Amino acid sequence: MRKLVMLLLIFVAVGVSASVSFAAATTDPAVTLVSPPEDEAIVADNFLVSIKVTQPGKTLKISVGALQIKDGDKFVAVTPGGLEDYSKKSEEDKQTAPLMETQTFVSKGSVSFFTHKVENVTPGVYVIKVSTVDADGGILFSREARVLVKEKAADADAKVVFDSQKSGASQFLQNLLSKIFKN
Amino acid sequence: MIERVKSIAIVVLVLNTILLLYFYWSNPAADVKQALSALSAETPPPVAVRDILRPERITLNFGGENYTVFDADAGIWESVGKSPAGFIEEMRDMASGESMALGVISRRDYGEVMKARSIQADFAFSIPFSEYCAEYGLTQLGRTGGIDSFTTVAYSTASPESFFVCDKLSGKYYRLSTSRARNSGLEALISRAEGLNNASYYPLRTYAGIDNDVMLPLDMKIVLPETSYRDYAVGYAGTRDGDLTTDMARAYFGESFDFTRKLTEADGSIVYMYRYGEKVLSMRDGVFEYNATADAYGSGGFFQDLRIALDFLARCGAPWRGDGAAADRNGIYLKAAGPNPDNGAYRFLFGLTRDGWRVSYENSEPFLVEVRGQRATYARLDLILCSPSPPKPLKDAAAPFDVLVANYAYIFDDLAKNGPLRQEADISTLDPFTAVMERTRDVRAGYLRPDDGSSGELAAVWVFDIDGLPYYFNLYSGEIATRAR
Repeated sequence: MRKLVMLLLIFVAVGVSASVSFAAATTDPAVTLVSPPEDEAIVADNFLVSIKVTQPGKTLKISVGALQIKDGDKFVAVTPGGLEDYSKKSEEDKQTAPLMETQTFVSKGSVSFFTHKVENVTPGVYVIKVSTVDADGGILFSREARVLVKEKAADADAKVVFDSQKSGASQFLQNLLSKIFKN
Repeated sequence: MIERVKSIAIVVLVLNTILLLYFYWSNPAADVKQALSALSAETPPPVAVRDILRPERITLNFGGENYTVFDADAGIWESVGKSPAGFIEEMRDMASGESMALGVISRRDYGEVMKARSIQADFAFSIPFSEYCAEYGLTQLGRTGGIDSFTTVAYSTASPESFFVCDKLSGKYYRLSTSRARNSGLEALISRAEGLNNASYYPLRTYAGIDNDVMLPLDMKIVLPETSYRDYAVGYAGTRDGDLTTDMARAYFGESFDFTRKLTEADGSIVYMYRYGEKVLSMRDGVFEYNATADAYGSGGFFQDLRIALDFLARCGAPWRGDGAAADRNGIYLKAAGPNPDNGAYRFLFGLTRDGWRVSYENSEPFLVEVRGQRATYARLDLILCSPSPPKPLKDAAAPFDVLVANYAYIFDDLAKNGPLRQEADISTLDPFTAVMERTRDVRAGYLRPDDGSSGELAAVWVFDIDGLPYYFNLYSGEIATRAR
């Protein structure tokens, strides 16, 4: 009995450590998505994908797609505010439409970059998938990053940097103080 | 009788002498014109201040991370139907009849407002603001006070009632606001430029994740045709009055030329000296160096001193314009300007352009002029002539960010040996990649005159300014284009 319990403990320990190691293998520590900013809304009709690799000889597969959900008979773009609905949809009612052919990049030197401009972008949610593959094409690491693209019209309510209306008295005082304390 | 005739003859001779001297001295330009005509068929008028004082770079943001950049020589204003003084005219229109309010803003706020549709015009050096306003008739702006100097003028649709004036060298940012709602002229310019086939640019922070807003093109089709050059002194045909050095000396000394001494030194340098070094012109290996004592001390101001420098160049640097058709495709631009702290002179560094592209010299500069008092007190001229080159099709240039990444280790090592990193207390703590990216100040395409030989081919290069040091890489292959320092 004691031997059986010991054997069970050994199998559990091996299984846990294996699962931990597999879980840790999802993100390649030598690969960083520099641009676009993750989970941060941008207003643009294009964005630059920039990926930094800090080890030579790594082979990456990079793809960019747009999240879509089914609306009637067709698929439409998921809006940044519609992510919650998207997560609740079944697999048949959602898809990722590719925006470009999957690119292959092999890193050279201790620092190298993959850059690619994604054009003709409309408001929606985009997914950048970066996979590190071995010589046989097997996936070693993989991660996805989301890019939120907002409507351009929404930028009209963007942060106002300055008060456009300064009171005449305060501006007069500011100019006077500038002249007095100049130099 | 004979005595009387002799007396009359002497009086007549004396009077003739006086008359001849009068006619001679009343038209001294005759001697200068003769000297100048020895150098070229006609002396060109000085380049106008307004033609040379142009922004070196125009950055357009079409909104939504869509940037493009025009080097000033590309003639963005003409391409959208405006004169090169377009920005000045728009500022004058916006300010006329308005009361201007001045506010100091932070670099961060300036960066925020420039993220919207905007246009920025950057000069390579600081210009005194009140002198600039006086020169261009921007009376209303000049009255605001509080701005000493500037390098940048900008406009953004995020703050359409304002102009932004910055001195990026000293880190000062100002906002000039009016009661007008917007500047329709500049907004129309941004829209028209958007329709042109522009190269896409991104700030370096977008490529590398480093805090640096220097703009780099993602990729670019470009043509810099092979252009051969020679030092001006090589093959100079000379004139009936002498060789190049003699002709240049006539231009520099004018009517004083006849009172100069000519010396030939052991190393082959030729020196012309007026009085006891009041004015000295030397020529060695095709490079001219001129020294003169100042007639007064202090500066007459940026614009007055610049006019003196341009006038001096027209009189004494005329050969740079070359000859024949090749001359029309040459130009000069003002590369740097500022006071010389050692002697109080105002120093102007001029560069050459060829077909609108800047020509860098590996270890020299085309023209350097210092002005003190009312005259040029120092000048150094290293002149080349370029030959006509046949038109070529557009070709893909090496992506400049890829070139920078591939060579950051080489650049870091050179900065550590020859650049500002020599002074770093503990260089081993620096990450070379981050150090190079943070210190990148400018990236542009152009020509390079290599530092070997008095003739050859101008190389087409990417020029990276890293912490004030230039690094040159082949424009198409990305390989290092110069020898190690």
